[in-house]
Amino acid sequence: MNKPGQRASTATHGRTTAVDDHELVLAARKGDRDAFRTLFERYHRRAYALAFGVLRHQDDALDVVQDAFIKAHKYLDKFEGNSSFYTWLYRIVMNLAIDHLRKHRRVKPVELDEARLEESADEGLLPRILGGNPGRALQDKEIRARIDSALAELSENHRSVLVMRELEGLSYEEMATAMSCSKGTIMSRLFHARRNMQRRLLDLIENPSRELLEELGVKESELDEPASTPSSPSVASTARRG
Amino acid sequence: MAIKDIELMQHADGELDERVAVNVRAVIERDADARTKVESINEMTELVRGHLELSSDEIPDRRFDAMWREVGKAIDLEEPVGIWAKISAWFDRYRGHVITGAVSAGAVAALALVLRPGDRDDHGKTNPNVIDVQPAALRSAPVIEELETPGGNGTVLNFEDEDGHMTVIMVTPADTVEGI
Repeated sequence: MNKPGQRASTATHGRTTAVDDHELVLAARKGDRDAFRTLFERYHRRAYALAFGVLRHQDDALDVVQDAFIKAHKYLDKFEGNSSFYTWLYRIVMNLAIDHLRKHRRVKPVELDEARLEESADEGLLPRILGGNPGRALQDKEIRARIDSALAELSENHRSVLVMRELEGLSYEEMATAMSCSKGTIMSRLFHARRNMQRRLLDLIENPSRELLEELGVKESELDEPASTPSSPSVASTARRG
Repeated sequence: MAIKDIELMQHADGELDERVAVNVRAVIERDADARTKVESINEMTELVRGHLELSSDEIPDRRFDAMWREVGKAIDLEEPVGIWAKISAWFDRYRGHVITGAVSAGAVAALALVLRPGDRDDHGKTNPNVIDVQPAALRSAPVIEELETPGGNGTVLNFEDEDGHMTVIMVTPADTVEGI
């Protein structure tokens, strides 16, 4: 799996050699459409993942990505190159996604602000819940569906922060800038988003289906073992410790 | 030393000050519970990122092909920004004709007008419609080619400067004596 911020589409358009993004931006500014298409080919899926993570709606996410590329091209002259092209692009994507949420708000956001962080601190994080093999877990449709619904149940702000952090690896400072709030608020949102995700996934882990256990390579006999080792690979035993 | 879970999260995210981080690392080393909580943060990262990347991979290419067509249409509707972009856009449209010498005299004359440097009016003010040509640091000597156009002649200069490759067309209508 790729590290945050390192994922790019593999295909490039009309360019067989790897060309630096900066060179492509310069060429696109001069009207080279192939150069801009190469940038599109490099980043459209990554931009989509970001938009989809925030919006939870395929068509809306596609619309936002399309608008983001149109906007990026229109304002290419204003891109100063202080950051990477993708960093600039994801800011556009995030702004459009957040705008979209504001305009088409479907549910009233519910969230804990940082003032409530202390009083809820006892509701801590859970130990890891999938036995240390998330890559394998993601092959299971049941787990993916649960992650999907858990993401959907988060408030918009919590989800936006979680997606920015987990997908793009943004720092608290960068997220605070993107969301126009304090670092403390970002930290609070991220903490609660992660904890809520864990709790929503816990039910699945506490009551795993036989298919899920097989998928994760957990033997039925392991389910009755006492949870004594912290790094046990067992799904159920790990969950019981929580 | 007791550590709050939010500090464990900051540690996992690399957001703790080094002074605090040293203490947190020491606690994590001897506290298995704290260790698994930090691991849970990394696990959540893998789950969320992996899930979103797979969701993205599930979108068929044709959806993105259609998206690019829409982006292309929007680009077509954009006004070129900056005089050089306008000239480049013009040149892109007429490139084939220029190379074969088939571009119209009107278009070439218009281009020559745009490219002529710093004309001044009767009051000594610079005409804002013309470019004040600035000297550029060249990476290599310009390649000069003759250009035949109807009703005039001209020169195409290809050179590399600090902004990259540049093509400049200088055209002189046949009824003037001003050369390049």
